Amino acid sequence: MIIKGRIKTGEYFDSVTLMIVGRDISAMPGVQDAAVVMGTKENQAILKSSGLWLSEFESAGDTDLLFAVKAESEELAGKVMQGIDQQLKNVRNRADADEEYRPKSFEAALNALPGANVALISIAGRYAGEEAMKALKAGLHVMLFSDNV
Amino acid sequence: MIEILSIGDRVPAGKYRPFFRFAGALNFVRAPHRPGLGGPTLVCVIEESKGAGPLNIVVRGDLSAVMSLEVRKSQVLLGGSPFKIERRYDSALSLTRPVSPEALGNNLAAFEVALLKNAPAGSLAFLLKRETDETPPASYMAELARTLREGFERLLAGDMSGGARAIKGRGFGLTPGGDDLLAGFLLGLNALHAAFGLDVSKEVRTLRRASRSRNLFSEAFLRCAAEGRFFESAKVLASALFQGSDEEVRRACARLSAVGASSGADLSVGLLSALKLHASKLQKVSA
Repeated sequence: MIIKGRIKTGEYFDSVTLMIVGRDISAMPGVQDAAVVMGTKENQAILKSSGLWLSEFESAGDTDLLFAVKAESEELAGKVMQGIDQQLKNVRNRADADEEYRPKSFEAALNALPGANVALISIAGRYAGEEAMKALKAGLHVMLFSDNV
Repeated sequence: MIEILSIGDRVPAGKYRPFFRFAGALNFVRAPHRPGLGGPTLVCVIEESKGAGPLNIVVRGDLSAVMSLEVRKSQVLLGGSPFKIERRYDSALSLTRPVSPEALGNNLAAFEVALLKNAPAGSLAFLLKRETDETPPASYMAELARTLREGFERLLAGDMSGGARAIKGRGFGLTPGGDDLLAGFLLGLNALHAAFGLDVSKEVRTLRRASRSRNLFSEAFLRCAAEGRFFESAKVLASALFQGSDEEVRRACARLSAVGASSGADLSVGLLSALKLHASKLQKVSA
């Protein structure tokens, strides 16, 4: 079995993305195990005890990403290494696309739901008046759950 | 246009430099005032959907062009523009009514069920389930799960130091799941102090000492948790657990579980475990 790995700096992926990519790579034919993790000393210790350790990981910092793969051939391990960046982006994009749309302003919410006839406002009081007036001017009823308006 | 909605009560004055940017959050650091005193300070400028926290400056508006932060006594300079600090987010847990250990016990049962339902795949909620006899194949994931479970069981047995050492820094994500769990455990201990006046200072001190991290995000989070400082959705859940109905607990649990990819759920595992560890003893005393 061949172990290959590398350190990637300056990019952040959430925990679920890292776990999914590691799991997907491990399930590839010819791959025995893989990990895509942050480079904490503790995660490095688990790489050691699970047989995925490479000495080059020693220089990694806590906010670096570590890629490690154990595959049946040099060629396959190299191919997996080349594809990891794209896999991370694909999983992240998939997660973004799956996320429910949450409008960040009254106007965007009204565009998303043009048939709405009531606005429920529950924000800090000093901002509530302005938002309530916007809703009233747009012809909506207003239910206001804010104090100190 | 940017509007500042809240500023955390643990955001200290000073000039900060950009550290790390990710979706909806811009993180700044400030070097320690005197070297060796507590390490660098992290402050997170975040979109309002992420909620208030002890080290958060919550803003409404486009963060993409913001590159600088200075916090003064009554003013924040964000990207060079001044904003008056009108009030601070209070991150301490203050309970207004007497608390009953029995009510807490019932709410903890509702919390556990809701957490197992809401926790995303890949979170540390698997630790709440009994270990199966099946031996998983040797792999990174199996080794990680084994180490985390070993540490978790040590925590539950009261070995704060050994448990924390086995859990800290382990897991996926910028704040590894193990650190989130330990922060939740610290918040749980501090909540017990706030609710029942329980002396947990020794456990908090031991856990904090053993969980120190070189990861700036984890360290900031753990330090606040050890000081009993809650971010908004954790505070809502803690308040509901001590003084709310089981329905309020379920809603607050769903909200906290949605924080980050798995951070909220991992923190919830720690919070639940610390509370359960002591709740049964409190119930015996009150009976």
